[in-house]
Amino acid sequence: MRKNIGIAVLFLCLLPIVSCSSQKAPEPFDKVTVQLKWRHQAQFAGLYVAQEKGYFAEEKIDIEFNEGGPNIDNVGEVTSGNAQFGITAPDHIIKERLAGKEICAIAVVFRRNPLVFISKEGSGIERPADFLNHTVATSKDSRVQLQAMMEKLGLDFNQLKHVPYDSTYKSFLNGDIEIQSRYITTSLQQFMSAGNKVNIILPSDYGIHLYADTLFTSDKLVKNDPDLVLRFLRATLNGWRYAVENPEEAVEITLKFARKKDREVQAKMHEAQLPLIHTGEDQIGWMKPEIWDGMHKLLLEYKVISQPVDMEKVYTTRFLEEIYGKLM
Amino acid sequence: MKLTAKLTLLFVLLTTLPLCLVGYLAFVNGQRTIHQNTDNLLVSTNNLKKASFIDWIDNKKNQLSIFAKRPLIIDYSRILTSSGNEETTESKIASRKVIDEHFKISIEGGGGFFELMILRPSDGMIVVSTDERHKLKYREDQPFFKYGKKRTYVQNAYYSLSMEQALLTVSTPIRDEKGNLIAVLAGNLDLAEITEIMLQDSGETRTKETYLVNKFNFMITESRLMPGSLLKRAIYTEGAKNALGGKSGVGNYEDYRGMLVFGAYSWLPEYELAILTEMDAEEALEPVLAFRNRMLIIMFLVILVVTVIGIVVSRTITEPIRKLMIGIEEFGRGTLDQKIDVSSVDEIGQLADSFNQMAEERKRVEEELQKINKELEGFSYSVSHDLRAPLRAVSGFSSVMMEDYGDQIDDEGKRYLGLIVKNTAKMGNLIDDLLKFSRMGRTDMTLTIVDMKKVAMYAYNEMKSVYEDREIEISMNSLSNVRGDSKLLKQVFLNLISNAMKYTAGEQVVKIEIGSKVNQDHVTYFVKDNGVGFDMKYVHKLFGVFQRLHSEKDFEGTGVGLALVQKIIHRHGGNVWAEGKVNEGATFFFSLPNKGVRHERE
Repeated sequence: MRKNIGIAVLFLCLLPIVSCSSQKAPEPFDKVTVQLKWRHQAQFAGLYVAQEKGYFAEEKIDIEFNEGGPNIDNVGEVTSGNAQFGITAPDHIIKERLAGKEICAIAVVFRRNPLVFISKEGSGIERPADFLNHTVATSKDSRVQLQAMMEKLGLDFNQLKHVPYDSTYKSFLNGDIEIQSRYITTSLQQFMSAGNKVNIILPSDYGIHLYADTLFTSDKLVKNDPDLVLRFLRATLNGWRYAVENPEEAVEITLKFARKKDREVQAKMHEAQLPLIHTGEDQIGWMKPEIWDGMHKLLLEYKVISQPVDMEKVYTTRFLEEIYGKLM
Repeated sequence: MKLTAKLTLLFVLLTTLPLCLVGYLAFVNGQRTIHQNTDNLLVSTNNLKKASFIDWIDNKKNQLSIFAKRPLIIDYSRILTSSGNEETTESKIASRKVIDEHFKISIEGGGGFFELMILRPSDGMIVVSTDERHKLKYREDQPFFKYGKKRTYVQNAYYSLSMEQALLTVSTPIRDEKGNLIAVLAGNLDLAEITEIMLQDSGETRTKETYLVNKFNFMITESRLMPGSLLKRAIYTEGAKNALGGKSGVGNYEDYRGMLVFGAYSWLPEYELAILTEMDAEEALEPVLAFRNRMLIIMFLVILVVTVIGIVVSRTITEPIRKLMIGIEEFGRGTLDQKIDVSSVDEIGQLADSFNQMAEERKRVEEELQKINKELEGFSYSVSHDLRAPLRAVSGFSSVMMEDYGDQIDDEGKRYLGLIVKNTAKMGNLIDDLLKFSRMGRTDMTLTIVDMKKVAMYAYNEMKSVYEDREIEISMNSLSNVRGDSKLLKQVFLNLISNAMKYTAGEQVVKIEIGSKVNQDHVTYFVKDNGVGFDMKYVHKLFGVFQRLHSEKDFEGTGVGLALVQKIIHRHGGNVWAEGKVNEGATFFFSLPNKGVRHERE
């Protein structure tokens, strides 16, 4: 009897809600395109999760992901309006800003840089000081980091034997390359799980602190529709939070998008990137001025950029602050 | 609602209502007690864990401070931090000595730091570490280095990429006698150890757990219920929000698994950590829920038993009443020779006894009455029968006298003789009618479905032949059939029509109307005439034997006809009555029970 009354009351309570919602025309969804940094893989798991879990829908966002690639200009896609948001490296944002592109970073997904240097275990090459007089292969992006690291330690960059980069591990295995730059989030994991033992040298252990995957948008959108930026960021960060808390499910969701439908590969990638995303310090996505300034200084010092940039315009923490509240 | 059901319901209500009330109060009381007990348990656990954590961390800080104050460590640190990037023999020795003579014991002793290191204050380089791999790495960006230059500092829970694990670092400055900063001493602690502190002694429960949450909402100790949460799970529960807001207290809220929990929370400002102890509401309330379930089962059983008892008890009460009721019904239907069998000795038993007595008495009286009636009928029969013989003699001898001695008697004598003959004939008629009447009470009836119209027609035709000189207008509607003795019912119509003929002697045209009406349980028939009628004042005399309302001189008849009609109708279980007005005709009604006959609608 009481239960019946309860149900009746519940029904009566729901009635106005139902009738209200049915009268109201559904709010239009904003169409949003994200220009990914690379092809579909676990690197963007948070976005996939936000999509699959309906976080974008909750924010009235109709999301679309555009894959990145070697010939795709991420920043250009955003400034042209083909995409509203993009993911790229922070140094790229600084450089493009200097080149007059009106873009700005709104959050950092990888707050630690996945770039590492590897050498064979037992080679005795364990620290930057050991690099001297050995063959080193660096990818284009990692050269500055290597140089900065060496010079910070007072080591002569020119004493390294630079050899061409080999994206496979062939030259590394046969000894032609003794030290090689790699991303810990990608093929390195499989290489190691295949039984290859390596020494990993982290630039962050030697004073080089760079952010990696960074979310950015155009100045125009920040100015014209800050609410959309906020909603997009909130949904994305929720997606990342869920992906961190539920790694297995995140991998499962990633597999729906990823080109490489290999659970093992995506799981390894996700596992490796987790410490870059949640560091235990600050909230997911958070950015610190000192790191941005450090990166700026580094780029200037190594002549990657010819003149200083107004850092105020390179990034904004206003959306993060709005989501998390102001933290120190 | 039947008495049995009423009584049963009463029993059930009387027993279960107090039970429900008591059960409910006990449940509410139990729930409140459990709430209080759980809150107390959680608060005390939370406080205990908090104290344990602070003890543990204070112990580590002390340990580190003691190291930092050892003169030898101060000396070695001076050597190590001033020797530049290149290792010298001196620095190698210093490094070895620091590790072997001081740090090693602490590390290997277990339960403490798993790595101890000394950092150069100028750039955060690790000049010596118990973990050789980390030597010469830089920690210049880490809070433990920045703040450790000034005071003993605890950097809680962060993920170290180079160590590939989550850890907690305590740091303290190493100063010389003058207070100048020489180095920073730092020690890494395993978060698993804090998890252990948080989760030990929670074995007696299934879901109770204590955990720490840092100011970025990350869980920094492992979850008992969801392993893999360390530094991965962000907690946004009500408890965590309150604790991170600097509040301490207890609450009932959904935890990070979405389960309803009882929680106690508190904020540790010095370490910027929230400590929460929670327990599933389901487990906490288990005893009271078990009690509720037991209560429900007991209630169900009680209702079952009480219902059965109620039915049995109310049956014993209502069964005699039911018997009594049936008995009375039977009695009303005329079955007198039955006894109500109620054995109980209570009021109902007495009532049944009284009733039985009454029924017996009634039966006795009835039988007596019947006997007397029979005697009376026999008497009148024999009287009328016996009267016939002398009367025949008088009549016979008077006739003989007239024939044989007529010439010897004068005219006056002859007239007297004629009167004697006429009067004896009349007396004969009277006796015949009387015999008929008394026989009526004795002859058996043969009950069939009687076509009343046919019977009435028959009687009317017979009468018409008797009064063939009279002009008659008859109107007869269709008459309903009825169950009865056709011979006797014909007699009824004969008598009533004859009656009508007699009392319409003064009319030129005799108008007779015969009809019937079906009522619920009987059919009423009537015979109406346009004769002299009667005064309703004397209606009660109409059906008496030898009762006449009119003088014999005006209207013929013996005064038995209507009495006979009444007798026949009564024997059929029916009724007779009449309506009339002087000079405006009379209507005679009789009704008969219509049991067992299907009537067509008129």
